[in-house]
Amino acid sequence: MRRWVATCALCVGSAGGISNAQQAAEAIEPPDGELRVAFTDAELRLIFQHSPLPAVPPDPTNNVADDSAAAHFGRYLFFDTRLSGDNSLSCSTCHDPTHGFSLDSQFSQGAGTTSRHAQSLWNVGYNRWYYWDGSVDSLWSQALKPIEGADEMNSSRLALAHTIAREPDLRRGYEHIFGGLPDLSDPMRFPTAGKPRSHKADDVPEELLGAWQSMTPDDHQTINTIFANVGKTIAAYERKIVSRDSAFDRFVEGLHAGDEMLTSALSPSAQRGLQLFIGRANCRLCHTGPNFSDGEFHSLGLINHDGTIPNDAARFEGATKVKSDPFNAAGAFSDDPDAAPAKLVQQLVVSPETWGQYKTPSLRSVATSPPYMHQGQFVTLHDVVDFYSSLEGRVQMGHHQETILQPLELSEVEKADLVSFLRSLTGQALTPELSARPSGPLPSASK
Amino acid sequence: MRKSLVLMLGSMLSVVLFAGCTGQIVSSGNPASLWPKPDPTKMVVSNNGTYGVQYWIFADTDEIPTNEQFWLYVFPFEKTSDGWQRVTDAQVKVDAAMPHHGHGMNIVPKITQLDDGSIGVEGMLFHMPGRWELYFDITRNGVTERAQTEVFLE
Repeated sequence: MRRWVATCALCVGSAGGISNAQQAAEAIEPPDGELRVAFTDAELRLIFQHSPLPAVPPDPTNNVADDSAAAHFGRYLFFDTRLSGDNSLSCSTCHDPTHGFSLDSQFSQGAGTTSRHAQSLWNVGYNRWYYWDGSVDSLWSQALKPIEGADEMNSSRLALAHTIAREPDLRRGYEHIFGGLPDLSDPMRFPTAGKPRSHKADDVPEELLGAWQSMTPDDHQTINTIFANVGKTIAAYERKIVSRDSAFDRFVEGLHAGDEMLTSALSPSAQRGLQLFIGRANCRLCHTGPNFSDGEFHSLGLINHDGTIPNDAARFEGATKVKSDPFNAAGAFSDDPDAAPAKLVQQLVVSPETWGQYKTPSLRSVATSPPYMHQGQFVTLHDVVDFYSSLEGRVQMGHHQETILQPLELSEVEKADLVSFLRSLTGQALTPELSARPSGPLPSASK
Repeated sequence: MRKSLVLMLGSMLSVVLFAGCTGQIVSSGNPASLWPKPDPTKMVVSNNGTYGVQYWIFADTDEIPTNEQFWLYVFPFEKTSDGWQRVTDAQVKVDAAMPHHGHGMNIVPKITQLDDGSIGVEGMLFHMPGRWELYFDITRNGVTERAQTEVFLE
């Protein structure tokens, strides 16, 4: 059997913000000084499934998904606190570009405290489902939820529409992309604030609910269209938050080309971690493909962050929500309600077996956004690997469990190797302009 | 079978159009020529031996892909003293599962009986690598037999 041998140098740098314990753990190097890892043909086939990362898939439900002016305006909105109820919060409050578009705290502090950890936005455009529970099926629809979330930005779609209409810069940006705004000046038809009930029965104050219910169906449609369009521009920006060209990608490129300079991008420890990842540790079963995620849902049996037994239906509830969401891919605000994403949500199974399942996160640039898991239960990547090694504290909840999940019983060196590999998935940083608010709502050529 | 070939078959024979991976199965006309000849080496035989099915895979690659939607075109046959004969009056359900993992697919495929009695299966999704079992439940006159085969995704 042909065997590839990659010659490696110790070249995986350390990103800021990781703990001393993690650094110490990752500093463990091969005990025998071995600097070469041999991969079999079978292993190479598996490795090649993970790189290169293709282009972000199209989103047929969003006509402006790849429109540069929409992406610019969406970035303007992403950092704009006027989208929140008290003008103090923006998308970037919980999705901080300096922290992998996530937060270093377990939960987000918005108008309230969220119950799940803010997910990183790296490679978010590759997702099939959004949120830990998959309660949303498009990036543009996801962008709408925090704006009205009582624990998040706590605004309303009516207030948002008025803000867009009132603020000259926002109006200019919106109308450049979607054409003239309708007249919202009649307060009897378009109250200053209002929104319908969400899936939580009691999270909308009566005055906001009453204002919304006082409107006609046609006026609901008008406001919902503006609301959806705002989400579509934010999504156009978020699709550009892509992590690629990591040390791992260079290593794979080197394997293809037989280029030792490129294969040296991956340290010996990371190469051994890769071998574990696709081999004995079997991480690739769920972290499949070039984005290192199957985009689907699994139950690890994690206890809550505070040590209590979980009581979160997670995917079971999320699947129910997404099928009935008026902003889903098959709904009235989708730009192609017959496209593949629409069929997917229509054919989605809602089964009690999905109780307690959470979405598999991408591992691209995973080192930039600790803590980890749906409640940020693990502070470091080493903690994550420790869990998979022992499954200590795992609970059986009587629903479907991943029967394939067995304690890996990794040695300390193996744990460090896996962490080294995970750290090698950190891609090139975004350009500074993509990580910050633009000076105006439109690209300079459009002003 | 690649998408382009699918489209070519559909347009040339005016039988079934699988409009790429985003389209719908559409039945029109009834030319029986699209049915494959019974091939014992490709036949998946039911548990009681009464039926067999042959199927075509429609995807962006030549094989069932991992974690990408694909389509099946299923041809049920009945074993007779004259060999395998087409069955056009049976109900056929298609499903799949990973027995080692204890779960099936996360979406329910849309099954359409086409005019010529063959079966279009839209929206199959094997979301994980590993061993899958593919099930064809053939029901006629109130009696169901299952034909099943296994698919290993690397």
